[in-house]
Amino acid sequence: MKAMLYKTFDINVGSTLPSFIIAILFCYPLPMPWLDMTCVFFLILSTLPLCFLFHRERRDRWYELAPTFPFSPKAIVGEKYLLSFLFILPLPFLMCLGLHLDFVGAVPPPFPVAFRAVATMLVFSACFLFLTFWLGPKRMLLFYLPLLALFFALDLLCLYEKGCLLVYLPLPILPSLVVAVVFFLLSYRAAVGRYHHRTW
Amino acid sequence: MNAIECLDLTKTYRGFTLDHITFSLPAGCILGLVGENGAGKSTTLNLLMNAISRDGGTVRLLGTDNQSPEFLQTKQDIGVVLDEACLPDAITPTELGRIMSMTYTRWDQPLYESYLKRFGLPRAKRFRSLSRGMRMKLAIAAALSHHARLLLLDEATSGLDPMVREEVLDVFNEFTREEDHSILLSSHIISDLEKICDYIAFLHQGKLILFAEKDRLLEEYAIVKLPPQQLAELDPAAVMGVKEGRYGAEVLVKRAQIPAHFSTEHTRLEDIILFLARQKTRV
Amino acid sequence: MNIIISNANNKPIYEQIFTQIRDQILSGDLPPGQALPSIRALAKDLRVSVITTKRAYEELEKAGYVYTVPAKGSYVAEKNTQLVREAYLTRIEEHLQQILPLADSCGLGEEELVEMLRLLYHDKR
Repeated sequence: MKAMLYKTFDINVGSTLPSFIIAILFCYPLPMPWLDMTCVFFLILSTLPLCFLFHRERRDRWYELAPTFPFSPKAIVGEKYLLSFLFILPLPFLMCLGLHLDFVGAVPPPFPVAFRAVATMLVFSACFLFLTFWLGPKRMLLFYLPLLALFFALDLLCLYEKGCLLVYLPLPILPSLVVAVVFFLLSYRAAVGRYHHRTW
Repeated sequence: MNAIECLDLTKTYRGFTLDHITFSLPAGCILGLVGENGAGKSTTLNLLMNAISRDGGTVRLLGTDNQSPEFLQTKQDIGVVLDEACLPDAITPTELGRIMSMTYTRWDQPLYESYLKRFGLPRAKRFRSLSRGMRMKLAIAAALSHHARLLLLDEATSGLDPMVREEVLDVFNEFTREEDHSILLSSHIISDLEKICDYIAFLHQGKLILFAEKDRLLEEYAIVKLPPQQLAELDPAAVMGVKEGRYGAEVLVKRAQIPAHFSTEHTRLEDIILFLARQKTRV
Repeated sequence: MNIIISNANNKPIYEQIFTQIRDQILSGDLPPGQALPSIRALAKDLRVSVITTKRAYEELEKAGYVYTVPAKGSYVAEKNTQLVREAYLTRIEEHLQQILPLADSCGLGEEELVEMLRLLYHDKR
């Protein structure tokens, strides 16, 4: 895993760092009320670095090279899940913080919303990563857009049925987080299996 | 123990099939895998490393099934160089060394540095800025620096100028001074293989046309040049192939089965392979 | 020990190695008890296949010129007079084999050939 992380941060840094920075830039100093908009926006922000990373790896023919080294599938898949997790955790809070710090007058959403956003992002990323390791980075667009559309539909459904966005649903925070984390971990296990027996 | 054991290895793509490849490479030997572009050399190598999944057959490297969980540990003993080295664009030799040191338990940093020095590779230059020859040399340096027992090299000498090729072949020759060190070297430059190989395998359109000890092949077969009229004097069983030209014919024959008065040319491996490619005969 | 492999030569490589080592043993350049290089080292130094050097050593051992100690290597065997004589007989026969086709080409018959040999023999004496 260490080798994978080193690869991402030292060698692929040119492609991943800008996307991290962009995502953070739109929290502060260019904050937008992402959490009050449809979830599609903040979901894209949370997976932006991963998309760039996968794209870069495709260009590098990394997945042709990786099997020639003793990298375990757990390390290869796990690294992406770890990065995803570590990025998702603070992101919604940064989004709220940005709005607090910015004196434009936009109202920052209440704290619980950030937690629910974490849960939503975890579920989305879990699906995204699983699909990527199952179908291959080459077909990313094929499932990324439909997946976004699915969550958009969920948002609309929520608005229609409950009159609020998905992240504003009055679901209990701790249970939803636990469910999201469990789903995330299960997706990791499944993704390792898919990668190990991949056909792409 | 055999370094590589391959039985009925099969892979089907649309328009191309790697058809029941079977061969074994004894430990301590060098196998040259020859074939034209598109013959299936890279596919075979990828199948050996289980980088792509096979449709049939079994593969054992260093005694381990390459689809078993133990294979991950076996990879510590295997060094691979892919076609065009295939390393990430932005990587520098130093960074590659760092990653390798985190990956291989027997990574030998001083050895790696010595190869970098020997090959004249600049430490901080990015992979994309290296010439083709330098790229291959970098990949080879990495493959040689973790005390591997088996090297799988895909076109490792292609695109290199003759001096560099000689240097690299020397390095491979040195590698196999140890009794349990083996190499599979695929190439379409047959003259390189002729220099260092113990065994030759010829892959043509997905089929293994030939697998033989190189020196025995050169002993047994020869090319005879004669006027077409004399063709009749040759025992048909001894004739492996005929190429008729304007001024005479070239015949690939079994040395032992032709009359003594026919003088055999010094035959290069390349000539035999090219003949076989045309005839597609199994030897 | 000097071994020169000629690629232009039609003789198989293992035979070339065999012949040259044998000749050096017979001439005394390689004294009895002398250790021969390992099969692998010889192969790598000559840039030939290990299978070939192995074969050459096996032939040498079969013919009685060398013996192998397991895990240690091959050594030049004690000079066996019978063996040496046989070797020389083989070499003479090899040379004679070369003469016959030459004689054929210029129409030299058996009688004339024997006469030539007799003359040379007496000249030497």
